[in-house]
Amino acid sequence: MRSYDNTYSRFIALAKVLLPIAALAILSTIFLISRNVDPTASIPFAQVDVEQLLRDQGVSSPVYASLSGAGTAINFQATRVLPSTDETEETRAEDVRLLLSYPDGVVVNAKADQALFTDESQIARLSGAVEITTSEGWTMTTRELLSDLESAWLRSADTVNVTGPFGELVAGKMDIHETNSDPVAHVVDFIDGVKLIYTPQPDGDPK
Amino acid sequence: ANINFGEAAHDDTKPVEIVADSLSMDQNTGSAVFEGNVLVVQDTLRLSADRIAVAYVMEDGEMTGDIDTMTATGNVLLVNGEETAKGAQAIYTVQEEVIVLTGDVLLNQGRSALSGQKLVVNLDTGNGVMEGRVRTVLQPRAKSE
Repeated sequence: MRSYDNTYSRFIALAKVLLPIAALAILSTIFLISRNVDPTASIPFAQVDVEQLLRDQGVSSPVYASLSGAGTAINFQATRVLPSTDETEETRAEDVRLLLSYPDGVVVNAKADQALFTDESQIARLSGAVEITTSEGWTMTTRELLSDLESAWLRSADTVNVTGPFGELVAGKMDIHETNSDPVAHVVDFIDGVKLIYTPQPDGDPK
Repeated sequence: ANINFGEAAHDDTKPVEIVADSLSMDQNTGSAVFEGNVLVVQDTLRLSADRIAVAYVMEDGEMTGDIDTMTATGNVLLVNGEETAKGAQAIYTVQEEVIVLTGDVLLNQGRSALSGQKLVVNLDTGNGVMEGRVRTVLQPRAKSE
């Protein structure tokens, strides 16, 4: 290396040697001493049994919305719908929520663990923790509920227990359907025996 | 004719129990129609009829739980304690606790019977007024008793 007389040239000569080495060292940290990154781990996989998914293809979180002839808005939601296979000729929907909003402003919504549709009819059979609530503050529980998603009626398969502003009621069967009055409203019929218990608040009690 | 109907004052805070074959409820008009041998029981009062239409108190279009009036039609039978009254139609206004029975009313209390066109009973005070061609039938006590 030629020697120079002034410090500046010496400094530059030194820098010409040291700077590339430093650069080399920094560069190597990327490849030589860096952690080896496992490319497969970085992409999050859903831990779902792929065969199971393939075997029974279903629709996840389906929403079915329609309007009945008289104008009742029908909205049917579930977390999953499994189409009918050859052994089970019923379409099955899981964790079902059904909403009927009648033209007179009353909203009836039913919730159940599952709903079964047979032979393409629009009738759903809701079963499993069936609970019906209405915007008027009624709650009804029954074992099984039938509902027509076209003409917006709801029918309980057997006894139904109702609590509402009018008190408690037990009835053999319950049927909610549109009236053919104008404007279209809805009516709730209880048949096969009805027992209603109403405890009046003492008169002085402000409502 | 003034009569007294039922000894103890009728307690209107007791629960009302209505049993029937069928019930149709319309939330908009706040009306519930019970049909098929309907029986209403409240404390000592028992009202039975073929059809009872219950009208609920409506507060700004919202149906509240309180019953406003009950209209019973079709062989109405009202029993309060030992007194029974029969008629064609009865209207029971729950708030004022007044029952108006109309249509050739027949009231029997113990041994005596009273018939007329209209019987108004105030359940709270227990007295009633019978109007319209009132006829009373008193059974003389037979000597042998």
